[in-house]
Order: sequence, then structure tokens, then C-alpha cells
Amino acid sequence: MALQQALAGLLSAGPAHGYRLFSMLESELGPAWDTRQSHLYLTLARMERDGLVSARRIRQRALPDRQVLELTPKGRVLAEQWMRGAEPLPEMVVKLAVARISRPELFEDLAAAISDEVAGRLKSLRQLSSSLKVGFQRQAVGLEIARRQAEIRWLSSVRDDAAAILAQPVGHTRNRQEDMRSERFA
Amino acid sequence: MREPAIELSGVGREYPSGAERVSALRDVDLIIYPGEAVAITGPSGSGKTTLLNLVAGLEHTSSGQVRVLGQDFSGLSEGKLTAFRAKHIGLVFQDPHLLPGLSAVENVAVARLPWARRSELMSEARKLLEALGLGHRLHHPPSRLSAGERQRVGLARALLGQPQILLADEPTGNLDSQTTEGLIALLTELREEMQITLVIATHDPAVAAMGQRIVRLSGGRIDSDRSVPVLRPVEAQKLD
Repeated sequence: MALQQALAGLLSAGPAHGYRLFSMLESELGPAWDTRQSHLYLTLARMERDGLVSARRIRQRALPDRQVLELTPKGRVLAEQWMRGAEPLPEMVVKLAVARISRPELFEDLAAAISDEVAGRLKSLRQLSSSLKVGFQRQAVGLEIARRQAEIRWLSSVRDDAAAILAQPVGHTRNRQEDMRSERFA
Repeated sequence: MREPAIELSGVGREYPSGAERVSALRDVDLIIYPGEAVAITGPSGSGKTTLLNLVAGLEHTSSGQVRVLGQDFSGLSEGKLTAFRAKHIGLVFQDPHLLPGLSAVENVAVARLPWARRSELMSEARKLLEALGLGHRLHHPPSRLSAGERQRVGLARALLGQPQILLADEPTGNLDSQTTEGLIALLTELREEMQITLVIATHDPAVAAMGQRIVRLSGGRIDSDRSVPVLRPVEAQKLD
């Protein structure tokens, strides 16, 4: 889900190689989200084919060449649109995790925009629920209401704790700016 | 141009705390128009209850101005403020504070006894309780009502006299999730039917989503004031 957009989002902070992108997603979202390394490389290849990223080879002494990926203007548009929009809601965790690393200045506004979206859906679901009288419809919509309630409460806690969340180090990696620099000069 | 129902301009409220003074609200500007449903949210101690108390005239500002239905509160005596509140503002609290010796219908009617005839109040109270689904509990004392039923009695009491503004402070704080949803549905329906201006203070963002606007307070200031969008309720999932 949204792997292409998440990779574009991470690359919006600067060029990186595939394994670095994989380890960042792993360290940020690890137990809750499963990122397959093979799928990530396939996705990056597709992004290159579609003109979203450009790749350049960097020679390494005693090691295989390393491929560093950089967003193209088209890829930058994709990343920007994805990280500034609240939809789709199931991707909110990935989007906030990516924004935390690559665009921390967007983090709080993004959480607020997603909260608005969830609040709007919750309100509409409640209106819909009151009109349902037959079968199991009301209970089926009730589950959606419960999911939105949980989401909006979670988002509220994320917004309340935003400063602490943004201050947390990035997983097992070193400072991302340092990582980017070390890749460029590897 | 529509006149605001509630207008706060540069409102501050301080409380003494030992030798110092603590700010509960700082420089708050807020306009709420008639018929709007506005949720005031934020963590504990952010100033939600203070804001509601100022709008209700239960507290006075330390600075700035509160106008409700065009009336500037700073120029009113306590007596006039009480009469204004009784006529125009309904209040719902987390705990409805029902009088244990009175029945449900008497608890509703008693709040406005100084301002109307008892028989009229009892008749209106009965109608309100019936409309809120408590027709079968009219003569029950509070001890024989569930938490949700007691809160609905509190709501009926707030609606007696058809106030233009309803202020609710953590009205779902003591309720389970199912009863909370019932009260939200009831408040939404009542607001639409009665065209009442609703201001609800809640720490729960899921309750705040019932508003058309969500005003978020942090440290006594307005952190954000955002409209809740009107959206399609659900993307139906494919059954395949």
C-alpha cells in the first residue's frame, strides 16, 4: 500500500540508495508494517521506468557499485501531492511516518488535515447510521464509526505529542542529513 | 450581515494561585453564529470549561469582552446576568446534578421555577422528556435512572424554555460509548430541529466531530479553528 508514494516522500528530503530507504521504512514502521525488500526494489525500478526517479551509479572500493536514486520533477510532484493530502485514510500512518523524517515542517498540518477528514467521515457516518432501520446495516456502519472514533482519538494524541514525536531519532539510522551526505560521497 | 450569537474579543481569564496569577485563557477571539454547532476541544487544563463559563456568564473576564446575542456581559449586574442566562442559555454538565428528592419531571421543571408558572413548566418538562425518550421515566427519582437517562434529564432541563444557545461541558464524560453515541445523535437532531446554537466542550475528539467547527485550545489560546468537511460517509467495500 502506497509504497511508491512513501518512497517518493522519503526521497523528497534528498537522494538515497534502495537499502537506505528500506531500512528507514523498517525502522520507522517495522512491527506494524511489512516492507518486502524485493518489492521495494521492484517498485523503485518501476518508478525509474515511469520517470519518477533517476538513478546514477556510484563506484565503491571493494564493494559492488551502489545505485543512488533521486526524485525527478515529476516524482517531486507525486511526493508533494501525497504528503499534503489527507486521503486515502488507510495510509495515514505511513504518510505521517514519512513526513516526520523528510518533511517535519508538514507534520502537524498533515495530522490536522487528516483529523478534519476523519471528523467529516465520522459525522457523515453518524447521520447515515440514524437513518438505517433494516437488517444488520446499522451494526455494519457502527463498526465504521468505531474505526473512525479510534482514528480520530489516535490523531489527537499524535497532535498533542507532535513536538516529542518529531524529536525522536530516526530508527537505527544516523541523522538523515548525514546519511544523505555519506551516500553522495561514498 | 448576520449578527453573531456569541462573540469573544481579546478575552483573558486569570485565577489567583498563591501569590501568583495563572492564565486560563489568553487573548481569545471567537465568533459563533446562530445555529452553528461548535466543539471546543483540547487537553485538560487548556481552558475549555473556562471559555464555556464565560459565555454562560458564570465567570467574569479578566480582560476583553464577551457578547452573547448582542448583549455585552460586562455591563450587566449579577441579577440581570442570571435572568439573561435563564432566558437564553441552556447548560449541560458532565454530571447533571439532579436533586435526589425530586422526580425526573420535577428536576426538569425546578430550574425555571422563578421565571414561570409551575403548571406550565411541568407540562413543558413532560413534553421534553417524552421527546427525549423518557416518557416512561417521568416520575422516577434520579436513583432509578441510568447514567444516560440522567444525562437526558439534564438535557431536558437545559432545553426548558427553548433557549437559543445550548452550552454543554463534557456532557458524555460519564457515559459509555454506546450511550455517548445516543446522546450525540440526540443533540444533533435537537440542534437541527430547534435551530439552536450549540457549543460543546469535550476532550474527546470523537465527540468533537459532531460539530460543524472544531476549535482546539492549547494553553488557554486558540490553537486551531477548523470546519468539519461534509464528506461521503463510507466507501462501500467490495464483497467478492
